[in-house]
Amino acid sequence: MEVFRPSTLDEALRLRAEHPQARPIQGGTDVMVELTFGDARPEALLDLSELAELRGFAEEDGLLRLGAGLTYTEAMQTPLASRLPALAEASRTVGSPQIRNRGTIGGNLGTASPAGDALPPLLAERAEVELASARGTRTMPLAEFLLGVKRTALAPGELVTAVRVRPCEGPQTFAKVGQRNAMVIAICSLAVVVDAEAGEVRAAFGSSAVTARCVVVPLAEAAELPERVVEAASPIDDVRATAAYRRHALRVLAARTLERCLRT
Amino acid sequence: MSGLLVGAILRSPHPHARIVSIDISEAEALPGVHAVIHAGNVEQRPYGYNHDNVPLKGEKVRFIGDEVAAVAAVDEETARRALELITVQYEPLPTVFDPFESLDPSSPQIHDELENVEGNVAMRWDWDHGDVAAAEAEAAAIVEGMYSAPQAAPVPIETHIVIASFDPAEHLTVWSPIHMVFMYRKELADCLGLDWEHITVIQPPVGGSFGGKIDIDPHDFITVMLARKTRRPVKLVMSREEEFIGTRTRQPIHFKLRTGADADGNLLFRDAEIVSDNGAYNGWGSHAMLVAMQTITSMYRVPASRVRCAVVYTNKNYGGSVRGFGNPQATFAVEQQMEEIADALGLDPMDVRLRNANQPGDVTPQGMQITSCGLEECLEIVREQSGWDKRRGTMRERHRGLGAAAFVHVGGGARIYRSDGCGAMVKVDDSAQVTLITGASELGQGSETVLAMIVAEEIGVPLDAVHVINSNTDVKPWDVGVHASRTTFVAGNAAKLAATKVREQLLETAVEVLGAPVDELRIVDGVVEVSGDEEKRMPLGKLMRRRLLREQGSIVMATAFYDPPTQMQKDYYGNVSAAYGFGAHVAEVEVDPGTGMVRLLNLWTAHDVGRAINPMSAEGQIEGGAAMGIGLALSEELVIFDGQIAAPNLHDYGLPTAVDVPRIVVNLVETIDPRGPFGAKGLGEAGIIPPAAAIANAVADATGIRPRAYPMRPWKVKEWLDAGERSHVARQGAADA
Ligand SMILES: Cc1cc2nc3c(=O)[nH]c(=O)nc-3n(C[C@H](O)[C@H](O)[C@H](O)COP(=O)(O)OP(=O)(O)OC[C@H]3O[C@@H](n4cnc5c(N)ncnc54)[C@H](O)[C@@H]3O)c2cc1C
Repeated sequence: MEVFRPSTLDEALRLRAEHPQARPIQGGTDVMVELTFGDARPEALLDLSELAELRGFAEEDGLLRLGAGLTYTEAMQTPLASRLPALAEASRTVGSPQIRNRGTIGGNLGTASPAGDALPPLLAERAEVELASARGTRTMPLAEFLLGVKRTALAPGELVTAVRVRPCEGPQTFAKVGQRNAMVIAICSLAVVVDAEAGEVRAAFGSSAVTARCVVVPLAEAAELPERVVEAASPIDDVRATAAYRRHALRVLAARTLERCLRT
Repeated sequence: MSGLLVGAILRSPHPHARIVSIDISEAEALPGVHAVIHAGNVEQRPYGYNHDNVPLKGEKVRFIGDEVAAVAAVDEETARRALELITVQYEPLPTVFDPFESLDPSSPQIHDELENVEGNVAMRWDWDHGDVAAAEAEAAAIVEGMYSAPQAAPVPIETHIVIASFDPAEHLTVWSPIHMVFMYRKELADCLGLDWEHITVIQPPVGGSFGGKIDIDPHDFITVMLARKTRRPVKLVMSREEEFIGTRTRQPIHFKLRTGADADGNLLFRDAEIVSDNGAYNGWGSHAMLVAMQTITSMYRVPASRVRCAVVYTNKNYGGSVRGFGNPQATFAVEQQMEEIADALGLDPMDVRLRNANQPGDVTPQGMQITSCGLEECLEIVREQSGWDKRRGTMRERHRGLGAAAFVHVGGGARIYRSDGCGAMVKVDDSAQVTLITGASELGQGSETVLAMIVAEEIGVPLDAVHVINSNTDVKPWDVGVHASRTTFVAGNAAKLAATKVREQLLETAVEVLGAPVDELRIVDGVVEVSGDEEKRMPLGKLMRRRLLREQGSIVMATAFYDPPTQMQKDYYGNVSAAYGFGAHVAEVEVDPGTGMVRLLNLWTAHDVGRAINPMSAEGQIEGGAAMGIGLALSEELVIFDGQIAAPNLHDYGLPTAVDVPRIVVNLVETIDPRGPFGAKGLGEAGIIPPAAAIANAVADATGIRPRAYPMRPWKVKEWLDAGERSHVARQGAADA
């Protein structure tokens, strides 16, 4: 298997255009599992881990740009953790310390699992995805980027380069139910953001529909949120839990996170 | 190893099907393939209890994972490709996965070829003691209910691996992690028609077993068949997925239990109807009732007991002899009812336990002779440390609760075979190096350290002077194998006996060389000392050279065989073990009433270990066992859909992680058993037994609901909370007595 290791974004985009069969790889915590199990046998890998352009985060005029290579460990630390507390809380629940050191936000978007833990906090923050190719750069709302189970709007030749968020001022939090306390895929998860400026509460949930999904209610009707979340969900029975339990747990998580936010 | 080939197994994708035809021609033609075997082209005989199994299935497959064919090839990729080229035509048969359905006479018959199997009942275990009906009439309170334990897996870090090689003189050497090496050799010989005197089994260091490497499995035979066919050494390694689907599991058991007591809390009877879900064949798991029954009849003093148990075939992976062997399952039922009956009588469950506690000198209804017994002390310790008297029943508002569970388990071997013995050889030559050659096996449990300590202590040499050798049937003396927490006790006694003889031989020489009477001699730290005469000290090495390096010199060497003074049970009666281990745990949990999540906050444990020869490793065994017990209690389960293990991987199989295991307080209670080496009793399995029961009782204390099954996963707890699942009290107080 061939491995391309570009050192600049331009080079990466050129290689991406020239070798459409090469699979992007960042932390490798999803890709390497697929390779080990033989679920994927790409002819080549496009290693993005050396690209300075994808690392860390930057803030300009209140707009946060999280590089696709931002790790969970980085998202858990100040100052980012105080700007995006729900994302920090979600990051703390991901895998184990080793996985949090390697795994990235860009990789979570790339995989687009309904259980991706970075997705609900970012959806609830109305994040935009920055996509680059040799043709140029475009952005789209995260909600439009996520098309289905492991399906995204990424076009041929494109890479996810960043996620853009304008953190709102109100309180926010994240909660997750799993069968144990670490190394666990969510039975269901939920992030809540109180956006006082827009006068609304937004909740996004994971593991209970084909993609992570976001629900919005006016602040005055915040009490309706749990019910609206359950209505928007379409969970299934699987190894981890039943659909009925997921609906129930979503209602509980929504009520609880909302209370936690509105109390503060 | 030169010429080593890689073996791989083709497994059935059907839970129950007739094999119509099998075509191996394309696989055989693939370059790099050296052999393709199946039932039609090998010599094999049925094996296993009641001979219900055969390595390669010819007529029919009975679960997803059953072995159908195998290949040996130059490398793994070629072997896997060859498997894909084998065409098997199956005719699917009706299936049965639920053991209760399997009992229905109209269910598909899984072993229709066995004439002595009626319905799908592989075996029955029936027991009657005392007058249960009379006890029932007398009881002031009776509780009853169903308690279920799921299929779980032992999950050692190292998966199974076997290498087999025939030399030009037809002598077979097998490298295997199986820790019953002598029985393994016999089973290989019987099934494959080999001479067992021409088999050597070598057991290299083992990467964990937890009982999963006690059973001989089809892949063991298959590896030997491949080596036989190819005339080349063959290695077969289980993938993690195969480890889950194709090696032995912990069998699910369902208990319908009733317990009765008088108004003071004296137990009067236990009455159990049990369905044990065997899976497709009789692995050792079929005999887990040996241990489960002991807990029902003999945990606490129970004057009358009745057991009706059916071990039932289903189209699933079958059970082995996993750590605890039926005891976590039985204890989950028995110890919940101890708290349920105490609550029904308005008594404190700890008081009820103490009132009924087994005592030294007791002979239980099954004939178990209890020598040392620290049960009372263990109960008192965890009662005190957990603040039981002040806290139980007072924390429900905060959704917190305390629950306890005790256990009894064999601690002095277990005579399940005509001999329960173990051999030992100890030698000293011209250095002061002492070598113990033991029949026992090391699987990471630390037995070699403990055996070395026993020998060092007995002879009087420093620990690092003792080397322990095991692992080769050509060299080591006979042993049943590692199971039933028996190694420290049985192999330890054997080592100690041999070491005593060695010390006597050394002292004989010392008498001669130092000219002092034997009662004035001592061996301390590798030096012979003469009391009252500092001058005459002599290091053992020098003494040995004085003995050896002369005309008609001699070495020092002794052998011993220790077989515990126990009995094979007849009709489930007999003293199977020379000692019994006891202990008690208290768990504290917090239950999230919204999500049903159970968080374990504390676990206090106290174990009667006889004597802790190596306290650190004793604690380690208990902590490790308790961590496994916590996994059983809260998250471990092989979820099976239509006979298929849904997620045979470590991500979804709910092993507890570091953050799921709270600090475990371990108290070692030393009762100095009269028969144990230096008073020690077995403790290898003990830790895993009580946690599920203790945690269930704590959940009941926190919520008022009564857990009916483990693992107590969030959605299940939520179901019980919603349904208001309570204790079933059939009779309460003295009112209708
Ligand atoms: C043991 C373990 C535990 C885990 N626990 C959790 C958990 O609790 N919660 C959770 O959400 N996830 C979990 N994961 C999954 C994984 O860690 C996350 O999805 C992580 O965010 C992936 O990031 P990565 O950088 O490792 O991605 P990679 O594996 O490198 O890539 C993932 C996917 O994204 C694509 N990709 C990567 N970068 C880009 C890019 N810049 N542009 C376009 N496509 C790209 C890749 O081609 C691939 O398809 C776990 C994984 C493991 C192995």
